[in-house]
Amino acid sequence: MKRSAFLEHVAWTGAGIAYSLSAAGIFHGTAVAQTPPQAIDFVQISDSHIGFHQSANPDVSATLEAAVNAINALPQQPQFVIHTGDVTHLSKAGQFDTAKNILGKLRAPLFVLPGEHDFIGSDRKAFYEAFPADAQTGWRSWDGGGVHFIALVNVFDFENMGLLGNDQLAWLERDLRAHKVSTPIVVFAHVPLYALYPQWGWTTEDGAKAIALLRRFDCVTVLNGHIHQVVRYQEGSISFATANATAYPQPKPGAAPKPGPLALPHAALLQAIGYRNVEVQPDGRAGIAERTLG
Amino acid sequence: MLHIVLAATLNVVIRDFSYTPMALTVRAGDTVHFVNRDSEAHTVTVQGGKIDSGGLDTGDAWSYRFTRPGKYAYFCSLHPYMRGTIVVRP
Ligand SMILES: [Cu+2]
Repeated sequence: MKRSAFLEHVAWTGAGIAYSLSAAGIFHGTAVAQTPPQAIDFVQISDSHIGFHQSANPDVSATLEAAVNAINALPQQPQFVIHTGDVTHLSKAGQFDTAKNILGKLRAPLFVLPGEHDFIGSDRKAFYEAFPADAQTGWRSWDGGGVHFIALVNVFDFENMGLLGNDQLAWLERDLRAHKVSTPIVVFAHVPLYALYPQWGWTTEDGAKAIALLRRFDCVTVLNGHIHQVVRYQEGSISFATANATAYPQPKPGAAPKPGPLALPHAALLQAIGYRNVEVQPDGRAGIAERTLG
Repeated sequence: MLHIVLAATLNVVIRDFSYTPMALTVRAGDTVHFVNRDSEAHTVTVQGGKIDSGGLDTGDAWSYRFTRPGKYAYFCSLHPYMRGTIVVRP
């Protein structure tokens, strides 16, 4: 490797290199033990509503499949794909089967969070039978590439819009306690955590308590679904961003009398649904690229 | 003298994210027939109980026979700001 190319390589990866001379006098470069800081990237999809068949999107299976194919075709596969809920429209066994078949084609590891449409009726068995990896408590956290990821469930008790509940908030408090303020944090949940538009149920009743726990961190990204459109909002060091659906868009907050499905011509529909690529830098800043199907 | 009381069936229509009528009084033994005439799916979920229609798609209907007197407050588990009540008289 030429020296200029070598320096460029070091600058690009940010790797620390230690040098040594072997007994034979050959110059060795050895990467030091600490792993170089690198961006980590993942994909978020949301609100597939498998089973929906109204004019706003007569074939929601096809659009979910198109999103899955587009993700599989990415030149670099994401670390993981997370689905932030409303996988099905009416929690029916056949709808979960269809969703599972389509999502099962993803090449990257998949995480699935429930939405209120996945918990219709008194029990949650259908969802957890389809996606058993998430069955322990429902909420969870994991670390990857220096980032602390947290997946919350705010649809267990939907009678008062989104709700996390005291058990989950206590868990979140304990989970965050061990982390330094400089740790990049990414939070997922189906319903927006802040009062985005409470009139339409686009809020989490006790979301402010979760936000209060997140406030001490330097850089936090909160990614939600539920409202079938991209809305971004910044509060201090916390960036919020809701995602497009793979099924159909909904009206902007207050732009229609009711939040029902927004019927658009087919070409416009494809430009209003899709998935998003998220790249989290070592300092926690997240770059979000919205990818629509049209 | 012989009284014959026939149980009735009463209707609640779901349209534009609301139940009509929002408040309904029936006699014990009456059946309430809920029909979803909205473009969106909804549920009829009685608060704090086991009475739940499950998901009602556009055009779906669900009936429930109320046998025990009392006040039943219900909501839509997908859109919890949708509220209704059934009062069941003895
Ligand atoms: Cu509803």
